[in-house]
Amino acid sequence: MGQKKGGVSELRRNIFSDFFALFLVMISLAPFIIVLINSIYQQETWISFQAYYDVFLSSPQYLLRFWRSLGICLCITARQVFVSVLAGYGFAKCKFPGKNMMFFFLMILMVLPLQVTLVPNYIMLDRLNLLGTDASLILPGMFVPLGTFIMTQSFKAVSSEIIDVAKLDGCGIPRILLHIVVPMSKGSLACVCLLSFLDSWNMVEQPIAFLKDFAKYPISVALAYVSTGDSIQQIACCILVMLPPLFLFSCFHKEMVEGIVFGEEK
Amino acid sequence: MKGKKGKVICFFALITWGLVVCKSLSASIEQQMTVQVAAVTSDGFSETELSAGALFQDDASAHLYQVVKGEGWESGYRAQEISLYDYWTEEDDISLIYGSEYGFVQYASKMVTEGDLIQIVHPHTGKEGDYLVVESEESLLEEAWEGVSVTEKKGKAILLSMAAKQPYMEAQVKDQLLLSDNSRVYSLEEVNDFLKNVPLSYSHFCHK
Repeated sequence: MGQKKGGVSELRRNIFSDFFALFLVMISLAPFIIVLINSIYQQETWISFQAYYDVFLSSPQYLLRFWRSLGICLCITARQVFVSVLAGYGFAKCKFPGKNMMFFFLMILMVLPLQVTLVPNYIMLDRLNLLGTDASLILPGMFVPLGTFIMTQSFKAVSSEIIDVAKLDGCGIPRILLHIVVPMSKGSLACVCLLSFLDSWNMVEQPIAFLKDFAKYPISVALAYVSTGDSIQQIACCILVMLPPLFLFSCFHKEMVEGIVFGEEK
Repeated sequence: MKGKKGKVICFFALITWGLVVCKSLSASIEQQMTVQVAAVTSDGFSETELSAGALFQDDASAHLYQVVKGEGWESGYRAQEISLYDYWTEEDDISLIYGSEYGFVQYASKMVTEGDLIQIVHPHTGKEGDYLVVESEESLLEEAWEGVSVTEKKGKAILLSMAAKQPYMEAQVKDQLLLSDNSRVYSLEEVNDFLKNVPLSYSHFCHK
């Protein structure tokens, strides 16, 4: 009798958790569905692809900006990954004075909000005469502490004996990195790639602060400047903006989850 | 899993290819859709005068436009309508009380509407071409035409050959031939170019 009662309550719990999960999924998907429906909905004809024609075919300005933004983001991501891998190896496997202190500062930087570093970055870029150029977005974007932190944690998990053996075999640091350490940390690398790409794809404050010319704004910022009369175009443009993150996530979601799980012995 | 990832990559590669095609297509569509206009500039200190061809008539009323420089997504030269209270018409002329930095639209290659992207051109006398004139009234001032040779005349339609200003703008040719507002002028070269863009119609037209 008691067993039956326990089974019923477990069933109820399962149904409740299933419904709760379904509810959460619906809440998460609702904005995307609303965007999709609004982009094709028109009062008179119900369905219209005019907004898609306006964004994709009537003028190249949306697509030009899209490709430009993609180029900038790929540039930032490539440089960020490069810096993160080197710095991560340094923190994980090299010995140098002040290493722990530097790692501590890195951690502090990681928890600081972006707005705090915006003003110092602005002053530095102004002194370097880089304000208003694409470099003003790419250069500060290179040094993101989260990437270095993830790579450090991942490299720490690589056994030091393997590296020592490689060194005995005559491998230099670049070869150790390229052939041993990085292939063993593929998940973390994919995670850094994904996070840095998403971070740069969604950046809003930096372009507004560092760029003056609207023509140079990436699509994430320029989207906000579509006039209210063209709101359907804006929504169709949102679909365009969603494509790269959607691709990266559908391709690398497994690596991303693996990459976030640190500290496994490799 | 690898198969699934492959499918995702193939799907997005297809989308990327589509976007690249759209980019090149949209550039040519925009080029074709951009209205070419001949603008009249003024210093702003004296009255500006335009010919009646500058008024664009639609179902509701006539519109006069000035050229402005757009910002943001509306960058480039744009047409902006001038209020009815800022100009007046006298016989075949339009007078404006103020000037415009980028000028007023005098002639256009096609119908202009508010906010249209426009390209300012400076018409020049081009090579000789064939034009079909359809006059609504029997009031052609043929004797005033200079450098025009009439090829054929049938009722209200006249096929003529002349060196009109290029690019072709109907109102401009009308002014050149002193035609009334109700008459129509067709450039045979333009018709030919249009048909070339519709390959099936063009071959059908050529066979005929």
